[in-house]
Amino acid sequence: MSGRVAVETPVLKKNDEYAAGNRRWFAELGMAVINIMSAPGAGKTTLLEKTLPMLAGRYSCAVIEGDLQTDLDAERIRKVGVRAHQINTTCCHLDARMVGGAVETFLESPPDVLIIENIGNLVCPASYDLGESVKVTLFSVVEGADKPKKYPKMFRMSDCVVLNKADLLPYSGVELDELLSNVRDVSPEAAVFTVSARTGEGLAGWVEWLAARVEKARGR
Amino acid sequence: MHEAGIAAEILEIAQAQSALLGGARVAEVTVRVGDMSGVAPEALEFAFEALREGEASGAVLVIKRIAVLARCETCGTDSRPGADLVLWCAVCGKPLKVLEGEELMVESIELEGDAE
Ligand SMILES: Nc1nc2c(ncn2[C@@H]2O[C@H](COP(=O)(O)OP(=O)(O)O)[C@@H](O)[C@H]2O)c(=O)[nH]1
Ligand SMILES: [Mg+2]
Ligand SMILES: [Zn+2]
Repeated sequence: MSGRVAVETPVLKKNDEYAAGNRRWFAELGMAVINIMSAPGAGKTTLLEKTLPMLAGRYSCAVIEGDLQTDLDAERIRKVGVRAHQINTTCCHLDARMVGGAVETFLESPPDVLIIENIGNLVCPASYDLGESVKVTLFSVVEGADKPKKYPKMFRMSDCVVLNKADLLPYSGVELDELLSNVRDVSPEAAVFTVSARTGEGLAGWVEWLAARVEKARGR
Repeated sequence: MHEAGIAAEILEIAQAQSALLGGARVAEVTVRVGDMSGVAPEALEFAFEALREGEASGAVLVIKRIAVLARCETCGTDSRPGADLVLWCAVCGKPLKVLEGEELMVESIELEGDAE
């Protein structure tokens, strides 16, 4: 056989199908799944260390940590009293199959809320649906006001954009208004919070938003 | 750099198609890559060439880049946001829906010669 053959297949079809399976499974488990994405060092683990104790009274939580090498982030999560499973991968993102495998480790008592800390990377994780209920982009203000326009996909697809390290704004040379307006331009419908995971500033609003989304995802 | 993973998926889809049709050689693979897909075309080309094998070892990757096309579902206006990517309606000020420019699709393949 020779000649042109129409294919019309999404490149990531396999992952998309796996993610759809995850999504049905997570719904059956009544588990809200939050995918947190950012560049390396934006403060994902620090945000989780602060956020988890604020959720702990209301929900049982567990965390999947994606990392290239170490178990350090999972250890940091366990220190605040939350179950954590580390995925080490040489990939620049987590995919739906890796997450499915990690969820198996929590099945003895599935958590109400599962938070996934994706691999630190502002581009690749955005292409891989994990079957999550909520996508969050974390961005530290010191990365620069122009980045939402340079890396629009992750910001656009996120339900929420958390701007972290607000305590560094006075030293960063970044205009918060300019950054906020660039986030709004590419992602008109995302909820946006400006916080400092270090000082705790702004975290209450973020946690309230998250809790509301958890309720919605669990169908309560 | 997820373009290596993306290229591997493209090759797998092309080879599966070829196998389905009797194992003919793949001469060309045409993909649509949106400007807002998060995939860098040059990196994808590079990875594709490095990973080609089997029936697709001589395949050429043709990348059709798709510009962002957005629609206002409130007033029906279509627009092509420029590099500034303002995804708000210039007419009525409502958020725009992106119709094109996020896709990452294998469109077609070109097969050549006869399978045995
Ligand atoms: N000044 C400041 N530093 C922060 C803040 N949040 C995190 N950091 C620091 O940024 C570095 C990277 O944080 P980490 O949570 O490991 O980032 P991750 O790679 O995204 O998980 C650490 O040194 C944190 O202490 C913040 O709100 N303000
Ligand atoms: Mg971390
Ligand atoms: Zn309009």
